[in-house]
Amino acid sequence: MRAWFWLIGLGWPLLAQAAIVEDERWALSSFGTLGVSHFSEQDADFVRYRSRQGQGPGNSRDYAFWLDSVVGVQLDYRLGEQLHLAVQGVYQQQPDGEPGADLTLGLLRWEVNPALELRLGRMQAIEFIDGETWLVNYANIWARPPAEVYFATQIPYRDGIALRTQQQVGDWWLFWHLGWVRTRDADFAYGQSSPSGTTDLEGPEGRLQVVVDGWLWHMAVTYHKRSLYSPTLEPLIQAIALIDPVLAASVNPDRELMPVYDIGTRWQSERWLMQVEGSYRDSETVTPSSYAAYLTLGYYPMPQTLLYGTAATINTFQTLDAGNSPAAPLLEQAYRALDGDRWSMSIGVRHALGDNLMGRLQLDYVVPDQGSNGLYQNQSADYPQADPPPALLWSVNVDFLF
Amino acid sequence: MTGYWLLLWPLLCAAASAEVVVIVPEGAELGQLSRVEVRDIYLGLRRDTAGGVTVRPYGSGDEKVQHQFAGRVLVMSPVAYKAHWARMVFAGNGRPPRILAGDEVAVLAGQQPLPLLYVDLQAIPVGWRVVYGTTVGGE
Repeated sequence: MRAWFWLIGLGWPLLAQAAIVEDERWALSSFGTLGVSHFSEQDADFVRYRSRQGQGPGNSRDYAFWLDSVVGVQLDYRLGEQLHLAVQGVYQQQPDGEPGADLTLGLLRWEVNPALELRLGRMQAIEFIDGETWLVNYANIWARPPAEVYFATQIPYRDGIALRTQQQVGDWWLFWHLGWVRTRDADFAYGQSSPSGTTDLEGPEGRLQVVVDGWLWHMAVTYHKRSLYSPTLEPLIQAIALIDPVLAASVNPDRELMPVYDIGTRWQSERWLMQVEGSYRDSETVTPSSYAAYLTLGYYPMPQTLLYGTAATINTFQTLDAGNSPAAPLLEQAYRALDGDRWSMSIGVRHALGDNLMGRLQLDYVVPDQGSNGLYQNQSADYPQADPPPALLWSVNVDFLF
Repeated sequence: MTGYWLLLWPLLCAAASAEVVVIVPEGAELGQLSRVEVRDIYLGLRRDTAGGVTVRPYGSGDEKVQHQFAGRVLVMSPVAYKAHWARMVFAGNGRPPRILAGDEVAVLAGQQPLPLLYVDLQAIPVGWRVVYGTTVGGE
């Protein structure tokens, strides 16, 4: 399987001059990244997103291939003037640490009129500015979206139905998305990734994006109920239940309403770009609430080259007070295990190596707070969670489209 | 090294300069377009003009003209334009304007929706007229 990946990954970009295969009715297109990364923290793995990726560079291995490496293929088919089909599959690292395939888009799109469309099928996360292209590294500014913000969503794709409308008000374009989605039994990497769990979500979501000369404004809320089934978490809930059944029921993440609110903006000119985004995730179970934000600035010294820097931070706080419950220490223990507070600074350069080929070098400086697991996975017994040291992540990637 | 390129950048731009115009077939019932209309059409934000004419945009195969169009009309780098369309495509939001081979232009003239094309001012094909250009009534 890995040989297949290398064949696709290395072979197709060489043919990238052919670009996208298409005619009037259908188009086959693809994206991907080949990358290698090294993390200076030897007692934990840096992961791209904590819920879907089981291993990374650090504790599991010195140099990791699968942190950012991915191949995606998409087929677009026009069934008529108003009906379109888009199916996208990606090959990436799975929660168990091994590479595997995911269906990330399977969408039937009915354009009722130029201002209104109905979507049915598998869709991507709408809560973040770049949530719909989470894995399309060529399209994104950085090697990967800042985990401090993007970690708030466990499942980057979901099934459902959505209505999209667009309105023009002067020079402003307003794009609305209103949907209802659900996902069942999605694999989930949980803390120490070896015992992966599963998660469900279900509920409404909405987004407003405003586009006006050079600016994109983004506001979104997902109002999902979520369940988490984990062989790590369940014994803890059971232990709390033995002492305080009422508390156990209230902190058990079973059909928990966990809204995510996100707001952000992107501005770009011919030479400069700026992107800022903040989110808040509200939870009243063992999963802590969190607020997070990042700021990215970029500059094109040449049309083909982008220099960029990002500062990001995440803070969690406990919304549940166990009060005088005798099970409070166990709950505190769960919160401590899930504390992912950290801040990071990233700098990077990306340069177009060809028509559809982008080389990238990114350096991340990650500073977990005291008592934080750093949003890492697979901490060894020696991981100094009480006072974790700063760590450096190096990434060298080639992103491509074809 | 960056400073070196910064010093050279205006010279490189001037050397690569081309006057980009947007054209339609001569018989088309379409008036002048604004830069904002052209930009919104090429970024996939709209499929019709402010006057309600449905159009289908096409891209030039000339890289120099592409760069000029991205910089002056879309006000973004060519790489950012490509990234924009990658976001659109892989979110299931449609396809980017197709890049035309030179001999395809003549075939487009009678097609519907109305074809819209950007070219170098010096290379306007016979039977086409300008609806947007910095020297022809554009912003």
